[in-house]
Amino acid sequence: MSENTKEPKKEQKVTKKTEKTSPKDITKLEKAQNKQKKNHKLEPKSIQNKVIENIKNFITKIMEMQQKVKHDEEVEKEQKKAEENEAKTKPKINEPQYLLEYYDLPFRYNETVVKILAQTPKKLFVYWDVSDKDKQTYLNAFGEHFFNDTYPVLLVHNESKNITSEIPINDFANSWYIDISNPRDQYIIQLGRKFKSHIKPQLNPEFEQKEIPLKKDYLFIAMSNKLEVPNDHILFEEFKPYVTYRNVKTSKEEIKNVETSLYQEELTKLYKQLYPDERLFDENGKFDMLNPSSAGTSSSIAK
Amino acid sequence: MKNVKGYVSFVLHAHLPYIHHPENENYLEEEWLFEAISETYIPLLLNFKKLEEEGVKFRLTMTMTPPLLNMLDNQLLQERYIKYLNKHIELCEKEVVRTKCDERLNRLSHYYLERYSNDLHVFRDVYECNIIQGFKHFQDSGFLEIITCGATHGYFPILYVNEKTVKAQIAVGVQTYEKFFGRRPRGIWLPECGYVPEADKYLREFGIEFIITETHGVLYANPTPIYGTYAPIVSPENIVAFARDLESSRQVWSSISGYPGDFNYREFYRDIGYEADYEYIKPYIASNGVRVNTGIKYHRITGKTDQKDYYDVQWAKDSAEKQAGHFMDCRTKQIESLANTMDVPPIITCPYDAELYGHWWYEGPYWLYILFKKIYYDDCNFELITPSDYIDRHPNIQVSTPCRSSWGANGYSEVWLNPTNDYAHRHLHKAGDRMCELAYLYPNEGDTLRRQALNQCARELLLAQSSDWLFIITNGTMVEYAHKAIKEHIGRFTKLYYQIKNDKIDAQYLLDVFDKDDIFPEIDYMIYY
Repeated sequence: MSENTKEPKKEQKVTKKTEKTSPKDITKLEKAQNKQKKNHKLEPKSIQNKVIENIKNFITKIMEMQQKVKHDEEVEKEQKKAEENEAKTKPKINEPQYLLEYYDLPFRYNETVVKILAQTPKKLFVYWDVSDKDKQTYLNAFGEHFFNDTYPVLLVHNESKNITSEIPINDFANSWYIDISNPRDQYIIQLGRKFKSHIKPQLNPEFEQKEIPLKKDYLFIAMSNKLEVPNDHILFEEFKPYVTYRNVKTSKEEIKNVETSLYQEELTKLYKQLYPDERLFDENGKFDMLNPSSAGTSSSIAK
Repeated sequence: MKNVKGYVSFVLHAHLPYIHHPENENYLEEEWLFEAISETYIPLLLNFKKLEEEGVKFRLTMTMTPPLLNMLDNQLLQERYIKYLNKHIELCEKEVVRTKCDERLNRLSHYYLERYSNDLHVFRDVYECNIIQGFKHFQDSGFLEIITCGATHGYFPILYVNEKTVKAQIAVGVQTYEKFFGRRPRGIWLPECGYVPEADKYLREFGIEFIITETHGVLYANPTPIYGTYAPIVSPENIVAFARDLESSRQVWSSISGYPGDFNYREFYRDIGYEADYEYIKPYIASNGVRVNTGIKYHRITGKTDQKDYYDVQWAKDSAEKQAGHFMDCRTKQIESLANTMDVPPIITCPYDAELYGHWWYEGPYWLYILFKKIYYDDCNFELITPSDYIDRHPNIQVSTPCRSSWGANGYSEVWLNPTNDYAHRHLHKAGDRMCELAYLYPNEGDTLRRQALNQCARELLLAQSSDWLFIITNGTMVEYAHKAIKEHIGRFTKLYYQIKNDKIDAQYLLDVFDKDDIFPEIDYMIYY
């Protein structure tokens, strides 16, 4: 019974509160303003809108000119018919038609290419393709069994250390991930083909040796871009007791001799002072890279 | 009088990919912008305004990326945002009625009604539908330094195999900034903090003075910076790099120990879009009937339990105030210890995604407000500063080349280059090469249809290069949209490329494509020359 009597009170309270804090009034006001705004067309402030409209008008003008030329060329009768049809089916020019679009990425671009990217300091990504024209050249030069007699390889060349390693790949792949062991070094990759061990390369006499880059059992196809792999640790081991400072306003540089207390091992100690939480980096100067910003919960709305 | 021994530099990176569908109003992805305006951008502006009115001096750096600026300036999206707000207000009004028997819930529904109504007032009446001017005001009044970003957030460590495409990202980023803010940007947020030394010469060419890198961008630099991340370094090309501080980052970012996990804070994953009766909520969720977030959330994190308590605005504010104090004390302690070791005042750089504040961490903007107030009034040993201010005060900087790095998981390129998204790179590179080819074949085209087609090619290429598509694919949510975006932008680019080369430009097609992808209306394709 008592609860029943309480109920209306609660409602009253809510209504009263609503009146006091007046969110409904705000909404009413907004609605009234909305109506007003509808009368004079809402004109949001856009500094770019005029430029966008100008471009659309320009393209439309060209379309009108194109249509005029087209129409002049047509027979009068056909023109009349076309105009009638257009009026029925086509929307007004100057308006986008939003035609249904469908696109797919091409499987390949039919070009000879090798590109490398660094995924991490320890891993490269390489993609490649060989054009039909180049493939035909190899068939002409070595005969119709060329692709059976050879297999594709990637020669991974560490330019900084002048070391080359060979990675056999296959004809079904067009990209590969390659483990490397030298961060900071410069890498370049060659795509080529090697003749199988039991096959002796035989070049068609019509082809000059200089046109076909064949070296023993290896045929060069393409060279990648050159790439420097990222560093993966604090370079304590390379630290020198002098440091260059530049005044970025005047570009004047000066070399400061750092106190011996900062030299190498001491720099490590300084870093431990700067970053007292030693769990953050090990004795090799490697930090915990699991950044909370993107490794954990996505950080941006779109993400 | 404060005894200033060092600085703290907040950098908020505001970015969203360009989503614009005049042809269809039902793209859920378009709501990313509306959510960000309501939950992050307007709350930030309102808190800045409060600080300004209270006479609190603060300094803060913000990126406003070119796609975000273009969307905020877009008339269609402005109109759609108003529609979005009106729908939310309508839902809130229904909620006030629906929850009338539960006092706590009813109080919350009134809170949301008031909040969305105020958003409408602020957006339409105060800022006349364009909140860019709000941020510009705080820049012009000396509270905020806005910096730019790559044109469409293209990830430099992958694009730079064709350096001209990186140059174009920088050029358009700077040009867009100048148009909206009437001055040159001094700094740039490298998309995803992706640093490659090869980009430095272009940054310098366009007048950029500083960048923000991930922690190891500076720590792994060559030669080793003697003060780690607590002083900037300058590259041989004269670009100053400020790196993210580890300790302060983790306090805010960490999903385990970070501030946003406080039990009194609003629970992101409990939303009436998922919880209300289906027939009731249907008009306010996705047009295809799929339940989505509405932004109306009644629960607090409560603890590691599914039994969530109702959200209490005051409790949440109390927690934010406590945490702001904690953050300030930690920085004070950190600077005290650093200042004893260093011969220049240390700087602690705190970069965050702007959308963390408000969207993910609902109380974030209020936390910032309290923190800035505390720093101004309380006795602490540091000042808020922007990277530009630091350079002006302490221009002697150690020369060192930053490390190739990013702020993605594990610090390099795995997020944007892995087996889920590596198929895209050959297409992005090829389109980049083709764009340069077009600029070379048709230089300085006059006022012709071909010029418009060439400019549209540049827009499509830039849009395809957005790092967001690759991130979304890796992340595994809304993947279809990201795949489609890459296909469409590359597809439109390629179709126009052939139309230009065959001298058969279809004006109607060009008009259609421009209507959809009207970003950077004043772009000049000659940036690829």
